[in-house]
Amino acid sequence: MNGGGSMKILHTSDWQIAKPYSRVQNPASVALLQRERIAAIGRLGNVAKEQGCSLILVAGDLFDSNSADKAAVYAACAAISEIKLPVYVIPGNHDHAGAGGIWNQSFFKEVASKVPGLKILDKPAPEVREDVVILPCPLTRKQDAGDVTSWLYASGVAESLPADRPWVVLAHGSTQGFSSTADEDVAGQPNLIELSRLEILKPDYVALGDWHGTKQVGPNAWYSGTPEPDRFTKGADHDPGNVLVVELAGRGVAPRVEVIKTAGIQWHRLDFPFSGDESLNHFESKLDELLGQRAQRDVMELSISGYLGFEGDGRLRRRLETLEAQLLRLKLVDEVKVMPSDGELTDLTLRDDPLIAAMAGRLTEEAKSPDPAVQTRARLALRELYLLVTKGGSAA
Amino acid sequence: MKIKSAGIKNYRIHKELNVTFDDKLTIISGPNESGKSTLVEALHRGLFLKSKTGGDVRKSMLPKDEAVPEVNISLEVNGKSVRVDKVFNVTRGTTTLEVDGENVVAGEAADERLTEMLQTPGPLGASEKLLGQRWSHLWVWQGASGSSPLEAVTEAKQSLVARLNAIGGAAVSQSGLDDKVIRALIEKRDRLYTMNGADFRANSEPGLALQELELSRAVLDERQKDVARLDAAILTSEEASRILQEKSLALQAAANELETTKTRTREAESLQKTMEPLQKALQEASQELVSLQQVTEEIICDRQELGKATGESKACEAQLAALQKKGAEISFELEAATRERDSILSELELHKIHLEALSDQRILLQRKGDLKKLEEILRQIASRRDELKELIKQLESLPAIEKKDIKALAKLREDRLQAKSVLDALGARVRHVTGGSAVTVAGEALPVDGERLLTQDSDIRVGETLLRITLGNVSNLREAAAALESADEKLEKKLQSLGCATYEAAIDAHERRTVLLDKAASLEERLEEYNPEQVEADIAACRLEIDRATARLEKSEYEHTELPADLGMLEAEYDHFTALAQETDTRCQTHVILCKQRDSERKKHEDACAELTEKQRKLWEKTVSLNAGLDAKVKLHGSDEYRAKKHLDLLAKQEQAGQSLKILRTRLNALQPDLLEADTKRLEDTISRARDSIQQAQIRRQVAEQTLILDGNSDPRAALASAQAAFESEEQRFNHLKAQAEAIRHLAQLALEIQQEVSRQINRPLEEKAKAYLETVFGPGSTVTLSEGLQAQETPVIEIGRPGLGRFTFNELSGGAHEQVGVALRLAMAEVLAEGHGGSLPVILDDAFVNSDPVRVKSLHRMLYLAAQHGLQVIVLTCNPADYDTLGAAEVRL
Repeated sequence: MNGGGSMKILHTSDWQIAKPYSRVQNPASVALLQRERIAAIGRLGNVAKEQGCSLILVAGDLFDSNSADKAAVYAACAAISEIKLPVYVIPGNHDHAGAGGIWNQSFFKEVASKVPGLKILDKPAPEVREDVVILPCPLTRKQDAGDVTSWLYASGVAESLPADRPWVVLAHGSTQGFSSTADEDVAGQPNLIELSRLEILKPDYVALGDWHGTKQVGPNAWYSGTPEPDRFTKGADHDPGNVLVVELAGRGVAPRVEVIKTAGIQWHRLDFPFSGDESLNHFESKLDELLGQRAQRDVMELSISGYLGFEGDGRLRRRLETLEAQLLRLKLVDEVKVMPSDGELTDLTLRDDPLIAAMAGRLTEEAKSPDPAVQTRARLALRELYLLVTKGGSAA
Repeated sequence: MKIKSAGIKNYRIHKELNVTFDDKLTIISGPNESGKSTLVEALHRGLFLKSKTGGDVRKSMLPKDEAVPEVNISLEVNGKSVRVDKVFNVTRGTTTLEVDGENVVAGEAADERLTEMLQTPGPLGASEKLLGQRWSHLWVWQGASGSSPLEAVTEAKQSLVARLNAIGGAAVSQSGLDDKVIRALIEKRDRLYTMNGADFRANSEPGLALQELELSRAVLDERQKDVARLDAAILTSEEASRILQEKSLALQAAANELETTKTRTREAESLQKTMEPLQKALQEASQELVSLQQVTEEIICDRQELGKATGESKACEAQLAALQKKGAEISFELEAATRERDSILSELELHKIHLEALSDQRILLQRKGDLKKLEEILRQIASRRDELKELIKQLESLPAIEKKDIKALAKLREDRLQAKSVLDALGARVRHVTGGSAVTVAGEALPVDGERLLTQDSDIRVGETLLRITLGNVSNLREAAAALESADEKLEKKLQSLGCATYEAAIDAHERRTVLLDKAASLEERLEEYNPEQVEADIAACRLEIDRATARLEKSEYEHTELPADLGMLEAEYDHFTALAQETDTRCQTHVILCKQRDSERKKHEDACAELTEKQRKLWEKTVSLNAGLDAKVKLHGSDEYRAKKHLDLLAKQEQAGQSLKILRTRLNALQPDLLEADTKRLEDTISRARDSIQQAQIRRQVAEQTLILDGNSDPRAALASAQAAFESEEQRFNHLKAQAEAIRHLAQLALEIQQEVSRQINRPLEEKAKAYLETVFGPGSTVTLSEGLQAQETPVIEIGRPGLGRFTFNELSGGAHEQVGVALRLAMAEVLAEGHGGSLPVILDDAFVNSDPVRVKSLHRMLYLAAQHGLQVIVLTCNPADYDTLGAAEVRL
């Protein structure tokens, strides 16, 4: 380190600005979710300033798409310019530096030129600062078959770097045995980074992007994760919505890493198996517990299964409607089997209307069919019959 | 109800007929046209037709004498005896009904009461259609046995359904809510699906969802295309970049290799230049060696040639001397032979002159003879010509009257005679019969026995008496006289033109002329046969030949003897000398050949001598030339010793140059000069192509990058993701609605099926009874099923199950089976209905089994017997009573 003292950097990645949230049907919710990602830039800028960081490293995927629109570019650049700190960005797989990339679009260049701190590191070349050496490994295509860090091993590269300040590798991709498998991401070959090989170079810190949860993957290698969650997580160890404040004390000194929460919107997952109409109350209390009285600040993936009677199913549907209004998005995985309760079945089969009784009997038999299509049809038909009967035969 | 007996009067062919029916089984038999069908018709009308009926219906009932039809029927209805008497007499018709224990009723009240007892809607008037329908389920009219019994049940359908309901008891009918639910389901289904039951209605929820789905699919396609275009441009750009990189490397490598190749080419060129003088020296030494060798060889050769020529010249000289000696001998022999030949030739010439003189003498003699004959002919010709001239003179003195003139004259004379006879006929004749007084007619005296023809009014004077004859037909007379005058004129004119005074003179002149003409023609013909011109020409030719022969003879050299003046002697002499000349000629030929032989030998010797002389000359010339040549060569190329030394020097020079060249060539070969040019060309091509590829790739990249420039107004990838999500959402929504719709459709289908099943339960008692009847014919296990409940509006389809044969609809059955199934169902219906008629009803079968074979008819006995056992009264009408002899029925024969 030139001058001797330690310095701090803020490591972040996967801002995914302009994420379309295509599964969210309500445009107002989409706008809210998108705005929250811009707001996250402000929050992490505040963290950087509060923590005394000298610069911000964005390890790829600043934009969700390589064809992000002007509005998103303006919004992001405006938020970055508010930070008033140098922001170093490498292109990731979503916003790679290849042909047609966002970074080369004239409108981006025009807007970015007015943001003094923003620096796009789209070439594999050392960025030597007085306090730190940044070794950017930008992606030039969505899927790179080679290791983007390869350029670091070329002869003369390491030798040319100043040894009196820390070296930070800035890369985007997956490391061995660890990759981004988001539920809404396009599955593909990961842009593999060989961490073990990086050890030869002895970088002081490896700032990684691509994985949306915060994760340490080597002694001094970290995924910062996205500062604002954008998907439903799988597993408890997946922890998105953070930034990392990395303190570097000098070349060859282990960094100190602090995880700081920046998430705005809460993303929930709830699995609930029903065991008849009685279990509805439990379901209701579970929802209250998770959401309280909050509105338009939560996103939920709800997987419901088990079985309900016709009345219970009616109640469930009504509750789901209110839940959808409460949430920014409800992702519903509905595997609930609607079967008449004993009382409902008796109501249908043991009655003085011989045709209705016969139909109900026939459908009850069909509902036991090994063919799932027949089963489903029979259940739907039973429900329809039940509703008709309870409405006294009115078709309305 | 049972029919006990019937009495018919004045009903078509039946004057009076009384029939008693068995309570169970009755066979009414009789031949065709015995009135069986009339009987059952009378029975039917007796039961159901009002007695006050007129019109066609009544007319059809009338017998020939048009007496009033009457029908009396005794019945048993619900255990009571009933008697009906009907007199069908239009407005005066009467019905009388007597029922046990009731007052006798008559008239329309009786008709009404009867229908009431028979449980039919009401008495019928003259409607044939309605008559045909009444009790048609029990009454199988002749020819109707194959029709569907369910279609025959029209009037009784309601009571049949009521009876079946009463018997079934357990049969369920749907509730009000059932009705509502089914109607609601069908309504819902119909709101969802089109008439085909498979497609959604456009305005239904799933229909609308489907449209939305299609719309979102179209949007998705568009978005996919947008992004695919971008992705394709990215790929193109990346590919172009890769090519640029590869080709740049290839270009550099090729340029380096080209430089190396050029250096080698320069080196090779320098080596080749060094080699050039050495090659030249080597070539010169070799050439000199070759020419020296050639000269030496030539000198040796010339010397050999000279020796050979000298030897040959000497041999030639000796040969020539011998040949010249032989030539002198041959010349002598030739001269002798020539002399002998010439002598024979002179002799032959003399013979030829003699023969020619003889030939001319022969011509002279022959032509003189010919001349004499020709001159005689000429004289005869002159005499004929004189004769002809005389004839012509005679002809010229006669008028030239042709045959046509004679014909014209004859016609004119005929015309005149005709005119004359007309005038004669018209005119009056005055004949002076007896003398006495002188008679003048028109001033001219008429002698006794004289006659005058009067053609105009004339005065006749007899003595003093003057008589005037006035002719009646004056105009005709004038015409006739004028005609005669005209005919006379014409005849006269014609005769004048021919130069004859009379017609007869003309005839005579014509005949004489004809004879003279014939004679002249004969003479001319004979003159033509003489051909005088030819005779004169022949005479001239003879004379010419005589002159020529005489001239030749005068000139001839023949002068030995007189030539014969007789042709015979001449021919003998000619033959003799001809033979002599031939013999001489043969001898002459032999000597000519001999002379030729000798001459040929002489020529050969002369040629041989000339040849040898020439040869000798050439050999001498050759010797001289060779000697001169040899001297010149030695002078030019030096002596033998000099040339041997020069040869050795040249060999040494050649060896030295060869060695130097070998070293240089090895160095040159190592550079592969042959390939260097091709290498240069190849590398230049490679560089040119690489430059082209680079240029093309640059253009492609530029074009692709142009496509990749975005305006930033929208994000095509985000738009694609949204479109994809929208599509999936629409798809999910549609599938959800589709599943719901299918459930409703299924429910509606199920409802209708169940409704049909419930409805069909009402048929059970009927189906079971029919089954019992059918089993008697088709065997155990036979079934009858009706597709719909009988209460339904539509007539159900009858389905028959036959053990071992499968299931058939009524319409699929054969004619015989039609009849059998039809009767079975009618019996079953009768049995169901009989409950309301005191346990019995009559079933009338008029010739109902015409299509059934005798075996099947036998098995039908069991069916009919079973019906009787079940309380029905079966009445069968047939013309074949034998078919039913085992039925155990009462028989009535008509």
